[in-house]
Amino acid sequence: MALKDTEQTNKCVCAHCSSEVNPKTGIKENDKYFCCEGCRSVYHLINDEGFGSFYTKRTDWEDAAPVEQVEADEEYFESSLEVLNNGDYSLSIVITGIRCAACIWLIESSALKDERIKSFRINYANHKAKVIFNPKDISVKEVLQKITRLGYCPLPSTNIETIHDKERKDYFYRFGVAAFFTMQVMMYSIANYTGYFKGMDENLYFLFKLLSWALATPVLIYSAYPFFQKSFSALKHFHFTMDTLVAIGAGTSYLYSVAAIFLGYETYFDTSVMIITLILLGRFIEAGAKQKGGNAVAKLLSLKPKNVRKIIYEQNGEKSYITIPIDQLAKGDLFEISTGSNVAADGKIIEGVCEIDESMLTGEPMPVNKKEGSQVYAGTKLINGTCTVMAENVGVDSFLSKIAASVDDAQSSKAPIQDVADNFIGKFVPFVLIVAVLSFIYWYFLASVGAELSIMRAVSVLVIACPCAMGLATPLAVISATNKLSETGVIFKNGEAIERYAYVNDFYFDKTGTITTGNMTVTDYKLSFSCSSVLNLITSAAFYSKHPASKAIAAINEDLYEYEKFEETAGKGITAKIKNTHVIIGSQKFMQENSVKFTEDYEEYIEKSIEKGCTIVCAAVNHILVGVFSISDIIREEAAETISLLQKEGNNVSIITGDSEKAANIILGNAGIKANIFADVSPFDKGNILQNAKDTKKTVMVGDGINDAIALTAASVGISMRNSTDISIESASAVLLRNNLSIIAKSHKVCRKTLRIIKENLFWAFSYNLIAIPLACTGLIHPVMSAAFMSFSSLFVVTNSMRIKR
Amino acid sequence: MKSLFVLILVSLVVGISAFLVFLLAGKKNQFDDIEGPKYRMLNDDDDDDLDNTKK
Repeated sequence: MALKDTEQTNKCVCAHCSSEVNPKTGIKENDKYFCCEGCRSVYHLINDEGFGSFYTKRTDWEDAAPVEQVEADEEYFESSLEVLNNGDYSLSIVITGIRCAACIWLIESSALKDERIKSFRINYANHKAKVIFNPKDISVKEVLQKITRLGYCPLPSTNIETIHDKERKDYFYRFGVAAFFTMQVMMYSIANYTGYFKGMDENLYFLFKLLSWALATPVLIYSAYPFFQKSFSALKHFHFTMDTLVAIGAGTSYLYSVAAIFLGYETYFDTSVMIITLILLGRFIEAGAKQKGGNAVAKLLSLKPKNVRKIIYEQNGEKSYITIPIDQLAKGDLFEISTGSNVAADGKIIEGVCEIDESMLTGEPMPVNKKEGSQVYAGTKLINGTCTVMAENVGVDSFLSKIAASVDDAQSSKAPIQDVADNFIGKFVPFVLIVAVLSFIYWYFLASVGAELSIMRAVSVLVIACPCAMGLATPLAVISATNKLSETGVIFKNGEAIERYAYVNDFYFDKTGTITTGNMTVTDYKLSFSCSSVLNLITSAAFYSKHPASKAIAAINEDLYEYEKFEETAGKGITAKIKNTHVIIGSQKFMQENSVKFTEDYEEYIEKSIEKGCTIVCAAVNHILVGVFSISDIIREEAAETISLLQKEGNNVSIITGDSEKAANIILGNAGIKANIFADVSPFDKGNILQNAKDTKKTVMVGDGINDAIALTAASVGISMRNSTDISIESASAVLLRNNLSIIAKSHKVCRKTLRIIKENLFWAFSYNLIAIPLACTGLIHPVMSAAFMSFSSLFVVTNSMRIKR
Repeated sequence: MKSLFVLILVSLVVGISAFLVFLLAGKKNQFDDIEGPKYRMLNDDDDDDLDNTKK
């Protein structure tokens, strides 16, 4: 029997977090539904305090369920407290769980309603908050509770800025100073240029030159400092970079102009400061794109709870629990893991039975049974059961940390990739220097115009050769591409990754969670009776279990009955009493244990399903087998199309999995995906495969699990899925914002276009040189013409870069 | 001719004082959160509405 489409009734959503709620199980209150107690209490709190308009203000409510609350431990926040002069405390925190401007408004206004809090201000860009209060009026704990009760989680923060923040701030001030003085210098330069044509008072002309000199000096000393410093350190290794070109261009035109004041030539102070200002603008824009990427990644990482329930035995033998942040867990500590939570540290189970989803580590989609004495690994997820675990390897010793260490190794061995512009400039700078020398030789030795004029002509070559357009070529294209890509649904952490992705022609996909959804789904089922009441009984029983297979069964039907008795055996199945009937759902073995008999046609059906690579779940009512469900991890809808599209464009596509070759072949074959398959691969081997492939090709790895982290780093470009583990988000150079594989092909197109535009920009910037340098050599070019040329080529680069957005 | 020198002086004073304002704003952390003001501006308006609906 084919699976019928589940009827699309009116979707019922939680009033707070907007996640879908089953009307029969959700909490109903008047005309509103809630998915859980947490959402309900937050909803009431918000409304009672008069902030109900939060629900109309918010623009992004994905994952809006309250973040798991930490016991606000004052000690934990000690490092982020600062005592102000008047005895007030200033508390710096990062608030996680913020999604849009409405959240910030809600937290700020509800906290400020309390008169004891003097100031509460959240930074919209990085969600860092500063709270000022007097410790005599209100305790740190109470302040933190103001935030946690609304469903957000405060984390301690120091005033230390991230590298990106600092870089951007630094460029901002240098650019600000440069822009101010450039405007002043321009005023006098334009006056002098007009004077050149129309004639002007000699004294005034001289005064303007002196003023330009005075105003240009701070720009050269302060704003251009990073260029001089960086080009000097690059020069030590005989490298020529963009910085070298800027330093030579701005430096020589400044020195030339100083000499020109006294020798009576035209000055070029405006060119000198203009170059610095425009290049700094480019750098500032680029730093902003980096900071934005960094923030988006940090936001994805902060969505996950990072707490653990530690068990403490009191002296009288009584057990108590405290919730602490994971990094405070020590070796030998006992902690509890319950259904749905992640294992916090490597350890051994000392009490309890459970099923753990280890697909993040192994790629095996079905959960593994664990009992007392079994090893569990940090980062894996508990599907059902409750266990007490003794932490064995915490921090650097855990398996997760070993992977992290390999990721670091792979990262440090990665050759820094020169971007297109730097590559081009590396060849261009020596060329300019040679032309300058040749022009000096010509004028001095052959034309014999004297040392003074010869030097001036040679220097003007250097000055004119440094176009602002070249410095703007990459940053403008990158910022434009970053915006376009985040619209498409992917965030690249830096501009180099965008360029690298354009060259990629060898694609590697992880199977579980990437090509497939990672969720179990019923693909087919066989029932003895076609009446709906039997199906209702089975799906109702399955609904109360959190096992992925049960969830899959529950999803095919919406009607729900209450249960009278319900029992779940981890790793085997469930038995329930519903409407006075006895329902058993579970594996074939579980059926046999409950003395349920299999008929021949069912056995045949089961055999066929197993051949197809499905997992079998049987259901019996009153000890008679009534149905069999075939369950498997289904392939994402767009996977086959994306892969064939990539292959059509001439790319090589491979699939890497920790799963067995047979299973991989069956699943991929069913979906009609033809690709190279690497099966039975360990996390470390995944890294090796990518490392080896990189020798001959430009590779990209798409993955989501802990087991993909090393491969994500080893590849030229690593792309992680949205709901990936933290470590893979951190090691990837790009993160998908939606779990849709078609973004991979779409963004590849955008990146190729970006690279083309960068090359066009460089070409036009270079064309300017092609015309201007010969003119400079011959001493024909007029300063006004040269300035006009320069502005034109910069303008071209700006408009050309905007084309990426289209 | 004299007026020209006065004007130059005035332009320098205006330019440099604007620059000092920029530095002062930077020192007072005015540029730390350049995203926020556009949202805060809208939220303040709504607070009044909120009080009205409360009655």
